[in-house]
Amino acid sequence: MDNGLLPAIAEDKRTLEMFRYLVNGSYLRVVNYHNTDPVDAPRFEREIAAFAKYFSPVTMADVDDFFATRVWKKDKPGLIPAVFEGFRNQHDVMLPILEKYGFRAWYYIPSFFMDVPVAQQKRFTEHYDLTVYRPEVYPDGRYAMNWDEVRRIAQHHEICCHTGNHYQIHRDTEDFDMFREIVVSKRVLEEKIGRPVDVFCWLYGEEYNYNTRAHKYLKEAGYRYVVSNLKMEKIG
Amino acid sequence: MDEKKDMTALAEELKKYLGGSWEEYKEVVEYCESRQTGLEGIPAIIGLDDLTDPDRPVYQMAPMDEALHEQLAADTLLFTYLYSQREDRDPHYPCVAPAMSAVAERAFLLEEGEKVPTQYRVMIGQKEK
Repeated sequence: MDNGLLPAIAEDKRTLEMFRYLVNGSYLRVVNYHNTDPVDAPRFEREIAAFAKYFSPVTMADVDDFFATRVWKKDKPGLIPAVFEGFRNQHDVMLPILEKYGFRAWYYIPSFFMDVPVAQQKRFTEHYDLTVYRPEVYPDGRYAMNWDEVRRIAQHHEICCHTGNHYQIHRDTEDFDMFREIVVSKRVLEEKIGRPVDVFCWLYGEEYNYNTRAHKYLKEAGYRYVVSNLKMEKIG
Repeated sequence: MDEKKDMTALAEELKKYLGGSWEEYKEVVEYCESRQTGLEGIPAIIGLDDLTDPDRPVYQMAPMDEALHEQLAADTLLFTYLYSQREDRDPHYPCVAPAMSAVAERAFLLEEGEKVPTQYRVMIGQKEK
């Protein structure tokens, strides 16, 4: 074994945090999706079928209960298919597969994307780092879900806020930008789907303490959880 | 407390989990780095942290995870180390982040009656067992 193993472990405190979560049983599996194009549908179906065979879907209520009681009450471990960006193909391709197998996903939506006029969506995706790999699938240029599609998803799946514009919040981001991307984005989602949105997810997976200036906006908005690459943190 | 002795004990414990199979771990890392993250389902594991009640850190897991979680924890350290050795690593990005996907890729589930965990690729029929 190389002598560098222990220094590598100690380099970043999050390594031993993750080790601790795993030893203590405080973790969930996720499978992260971005584009779900039709050509990849057979693979997605194999994945969701396997999830349904070996794992339990996770609802917001399951997470609340797991945190409250510290006991996972289902026979199989929980698994969250996490579907990011609000792309139209996530409604057209992924939703029917999820419904076929009765599995629940968590959709992370940049809520201003839905209201971008179709003619401007290509430019929006390029500006806000929303990579569309196969634009030819939708020659009409509508890459975002519309609100009817989001509402259809919301009937059986969790809807989470992934900022408003798919906007990266840095430590020095201006307050009015944070208010728009954390607070206004949540209000838009809630108004459109008609129910509370409890989960916020930064871009690029930053954790709750990445930007302490954002805490007041997360509190003002009323989020209860912050999700990152490494953690789901209960904040309220 | 003898810190050096504790660190040596940790390294020895990790060797036990590793079972002399560095090559298998390296293959998983190479596979993970070859994936198209914008197009494929990418497995990972996320920790649950209750910032409102941090003094109760221990959770009761599903039976499958009772048998698997210590292996996953050891794999977290091993994969973090392997990512720290990559020449193309991003110094601003913690090695544990890609490591958590490698951990999930290598040991996504433990089927009933089995002792060896199943890779994600195997579970979805992309690779033979």
